[in-house]
Amino acid sequence: MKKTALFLCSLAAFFWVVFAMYPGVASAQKTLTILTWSDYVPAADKKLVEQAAKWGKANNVKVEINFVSLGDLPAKISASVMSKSGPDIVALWYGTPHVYAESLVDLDGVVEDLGKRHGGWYEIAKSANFVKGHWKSLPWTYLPYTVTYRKDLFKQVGETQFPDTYDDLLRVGKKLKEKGFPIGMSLGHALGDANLSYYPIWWAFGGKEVDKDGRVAIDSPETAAAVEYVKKLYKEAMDPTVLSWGDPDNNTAMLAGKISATFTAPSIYSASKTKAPQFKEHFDHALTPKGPAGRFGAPLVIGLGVLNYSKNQDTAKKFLTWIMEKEQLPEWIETSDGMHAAMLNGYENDPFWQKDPKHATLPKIGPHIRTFGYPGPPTQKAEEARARFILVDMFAKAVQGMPTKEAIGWAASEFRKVYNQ
Amino acid sequence: MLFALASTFRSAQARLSGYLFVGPAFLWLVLIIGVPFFLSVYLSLTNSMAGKWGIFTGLDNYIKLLDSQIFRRTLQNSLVFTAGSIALKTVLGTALALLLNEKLRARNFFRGAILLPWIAPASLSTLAWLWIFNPFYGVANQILKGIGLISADIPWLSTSGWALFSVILVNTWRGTPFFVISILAGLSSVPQELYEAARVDGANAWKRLLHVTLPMIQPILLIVILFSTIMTFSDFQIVYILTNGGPANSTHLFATLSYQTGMIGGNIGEGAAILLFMAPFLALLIYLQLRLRGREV
Repeated sequence: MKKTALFLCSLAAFFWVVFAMYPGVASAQKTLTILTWSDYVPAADKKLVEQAAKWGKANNVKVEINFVSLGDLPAKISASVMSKSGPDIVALWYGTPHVYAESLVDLDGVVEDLGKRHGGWYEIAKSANFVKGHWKSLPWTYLPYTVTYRKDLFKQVGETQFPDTYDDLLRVGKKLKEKGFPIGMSLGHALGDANLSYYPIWWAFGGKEVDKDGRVAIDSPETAAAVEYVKKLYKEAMDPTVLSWGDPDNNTAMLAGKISATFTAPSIYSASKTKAPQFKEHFDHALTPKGPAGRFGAPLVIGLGVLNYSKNQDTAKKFLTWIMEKEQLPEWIETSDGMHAAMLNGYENDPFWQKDPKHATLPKIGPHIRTFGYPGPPTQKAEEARARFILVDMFAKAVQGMPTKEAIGWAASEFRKVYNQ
Repeated sequence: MLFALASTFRSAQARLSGYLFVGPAFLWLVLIIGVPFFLSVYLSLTNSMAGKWGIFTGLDNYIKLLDSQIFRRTLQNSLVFTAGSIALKTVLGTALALLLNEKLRARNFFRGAILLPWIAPASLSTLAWLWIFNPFYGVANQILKGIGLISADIPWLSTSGWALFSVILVNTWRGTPFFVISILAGLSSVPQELYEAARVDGANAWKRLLHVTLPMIQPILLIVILFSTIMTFSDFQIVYILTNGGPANSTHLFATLSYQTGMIGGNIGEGAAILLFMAPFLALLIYLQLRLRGREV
């Protein structure tokens, strides 16, 4: 009797484990899994979960969203791609759709349909997500990487608005540093901020990663001009500790009142509402300055790609279309408090951007955004060079005393190794 | 003859039983250690990228690495980081073990407390150090300025030299307890008669340390140094959290450079090659450790 009871319990436990591990066996409900980053504005993640649950309920699909830190996202995507198992949809930063193109499903139908119905896509949407004739990921959003600055501190040195050129930024930054309020952008290995701050400066001085034949072209008078500029900016206008800054440090420094301006996504103003309310009124946003070659913005773009091992590709495509519609996307953007913007022309004049005057500047950076690898395409090589911080380290070596020519020579040599030239 | 056959069969069966008992564990080890290792070796000999299996390219990745200033700097950093940390841990660990071996008040409390850096989760304790070194509100500079030891902030993570020193410091803080506990175990097995005989011969404390204590704990000290060298050389989280290899690659170690190249940059082949550069060195250390252990037994 006891043995029979034990046997029946074991059998029941076995089947329970089987059904627990394989929910598809137990029910007809599909599960759609999404891997994305933990947003700097937690309310945006909460809204995304809410919207996904709503869509899931209407379509009898369980949507599971896994939020991971930005630093962990590339490793998790790499692991999924190499093992051909994992989430159905992944968030792809910068130009990484080009890196994983062969593992991503074509989304031509989804993206072109959305483009037709919502006024067409920005150029940056195509640069980052269109690979060898196909849309490899949906251009979900970009983070307007601009300038956050303290209006009151700038007023103290006689400036009523943020400088519009890099020469002016140097002039004003010098005055601010003398007053004890330097500017600061990370020259360390900050995962996001370091590359996102210095690539636009380099481009603004005419720096190019590759020429029209795809040969590495960093060793140029334009790059030398950019290096000389950054050396002066570091010495005369910046906080010297920028060489150790990680991604949170410029936010911390601004919210603590230690620096007067930084290049960043608009998370500082959003955070100040709760963490530094005494500064909230003084924060404002401005476009990144112009250089001799124009004004450039950082490619903080995020695409959503469907991995080709996914057994839920059609379901994933339906979900991707739905979250970009006007009932969903503007609501999510509003919840992000300006942290996100759409790459569709139809959403450019959304009323949200006029609600708070401090947000009005943010979407204007859109047309100036370029991808890593500019003026070449955002290839895997460009992403690899970005991941290795070669450009940032060139500037970091120069500000620490390495002669400009030597710093550029070192960077050119490392870029050529990445490009196998 | 039948008896001889039966005896042969029984001894063969006994031998086979041994293999059968060890077999599953051995297979498991082969699967979780052997397969990834040999796969890494294969990947390092290809031009595989994230999501794309490459073709065999021989030693191209290794040759390219030797030509890279970033890699050569990483090799230099790894050697300095390991040598510096091990030297500090050996000296501090031995000194603390000798102190905790004396009859002190609350000795057991201190013996337990000394373990805290080692048992605290590495990522969390390193995050705490990141706050301690923070250039704006870190307590390290505030305390040192408060007691008058420095007048200007130390750029703990902002300059190449100080950044490398800081990661060595954190590794030392984290790893010293392991030295203390192991050496303490060794000290407890030193016969007291040797000390008494030395005292009778007129040896002072310093001479007793040099001629009795250190020779007696030498075997355990060597094993601890070797084991710690293996762990230190392959460190990842301290550098990843504090500096991510910066500023300007002055703190990169093999593990962090491999992660940056392979996982973030997508160059899986080169990432694997960077890690495998450590393999011969680590294999030698493991061999030496096993030889020492065998000699001890």
